[in-house]
Amino acid sequence: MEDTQLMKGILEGCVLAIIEKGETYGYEILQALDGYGFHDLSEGTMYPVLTRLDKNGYISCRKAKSPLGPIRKYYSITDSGGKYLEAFKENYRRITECADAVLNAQI
Amino acid sequence: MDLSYHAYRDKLNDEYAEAFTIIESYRYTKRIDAKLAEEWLMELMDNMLTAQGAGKTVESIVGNDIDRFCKEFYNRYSGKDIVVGIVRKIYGISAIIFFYSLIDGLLADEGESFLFGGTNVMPYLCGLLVGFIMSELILVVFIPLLRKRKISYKSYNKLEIWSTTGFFVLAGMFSLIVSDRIELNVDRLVLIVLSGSYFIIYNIIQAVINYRRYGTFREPKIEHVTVRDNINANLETELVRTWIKQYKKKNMQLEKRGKELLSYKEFLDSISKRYDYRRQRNLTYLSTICGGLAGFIIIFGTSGYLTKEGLGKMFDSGMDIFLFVILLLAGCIVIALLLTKMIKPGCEVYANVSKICDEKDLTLEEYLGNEQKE
Repeated sequence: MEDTQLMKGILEGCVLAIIEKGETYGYEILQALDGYGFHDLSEGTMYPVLTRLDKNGYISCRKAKSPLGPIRKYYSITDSGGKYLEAFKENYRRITECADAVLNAQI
Repeated sequence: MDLSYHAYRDKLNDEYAEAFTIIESYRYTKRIDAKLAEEWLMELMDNMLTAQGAGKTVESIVGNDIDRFCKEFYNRYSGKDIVVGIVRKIYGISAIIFFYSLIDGLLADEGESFLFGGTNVMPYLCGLLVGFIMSELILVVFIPLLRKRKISYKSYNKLEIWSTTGFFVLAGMFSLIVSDRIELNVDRLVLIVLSGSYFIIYNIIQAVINYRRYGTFREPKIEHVTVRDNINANLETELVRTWIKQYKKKNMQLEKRGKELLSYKEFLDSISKRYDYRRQRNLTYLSTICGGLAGFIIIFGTSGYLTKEGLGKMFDSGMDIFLFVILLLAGCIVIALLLTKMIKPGCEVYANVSKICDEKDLTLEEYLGNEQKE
């Protein structure tokens, strides 16, 4: 499955859903996405998504020293991020229902 | 004070280090603001070290196409970030102009007003021009060679260090030569007021932004043990590993020459001078001061030779030369102080390791094994 505009459109919601489960950091998010089946995800796309979510105020970032030494950024979801995620899930359900109806329609 | 991502570079294996250097070099092609690049690359460094520690290959972090990764990684650099970067650069420049004007006022000719005299800004503009040319040289020549894999990342790092050193020497010489021929005087009061105002306004705006984001006027301190503790914890392991490698290499060479091999105690004794704090501290002060004076002689001597003018024409009086040398020595002492702070932890680690190995009759491997168990 190649990266497409479709992938990029849903990645933001997926990353936010992972962060909603608990405070996490970049490598863990990459591992979680891989665990959910995003094997062919372009690894570079995660970082702009995190930056965009942070700038929009949907996630907050706490910096702390990691066990290996470098400063690690821990992300957690904000209230507005929670609301955005709920709206995203609702929109996603509606769009997939419509798309399923179109793609599976008997001609 | 937090460490830069550079401090962790040595922890990456060759595969990861090569990928990291290519990604790091790519930032120059996009002219990414230094503070932002530091933050992004620190996060990448953390992810790489975590993946490396988990036994994953570098592809798990950067994928199969590193150029594509670089494009996507830096794709978040927006127009707003460019503006913020420029504002930060001007902040740095305003601080330099402010102190340059103050020093120029102190070195002003007798009878010339401290505030209302003129400051020649030509040396500063020349330095900026040389700096711009050098950074473009790195962008146009070195980085494409690295990205096309025509030079290794280690060679690139060496080239970068030498070209940066060369820039400072050339900038100094060029500034002296040109500013002697072309003067661009600006009232000192104007420079001090403008640069000082920018400095104050920038810090006020930064405080407001921090308050809106964090609830405090300053960025929150990063949660960690003291930098010193962290340096020592990592440094001890890294130093002992380095000594083990050096010990094995030394004994291989002795074996080839048919000589008696060294014991661990003998090896540690042979490197003791390197970690004698007093000796290293004195050497650091001496070499920094000598380096500063040598730089002064090279830059002014070469400039004087090229312009056919002596020091007497470059400085208005013997007092000016004296004050300049005093300032230069003060700068060297400050640099030496910082360097000696950096060498002290290494000396403490050596003293501790050699004492424990001696008391408990341990090899360095046994020492490392014991430490890691703890």
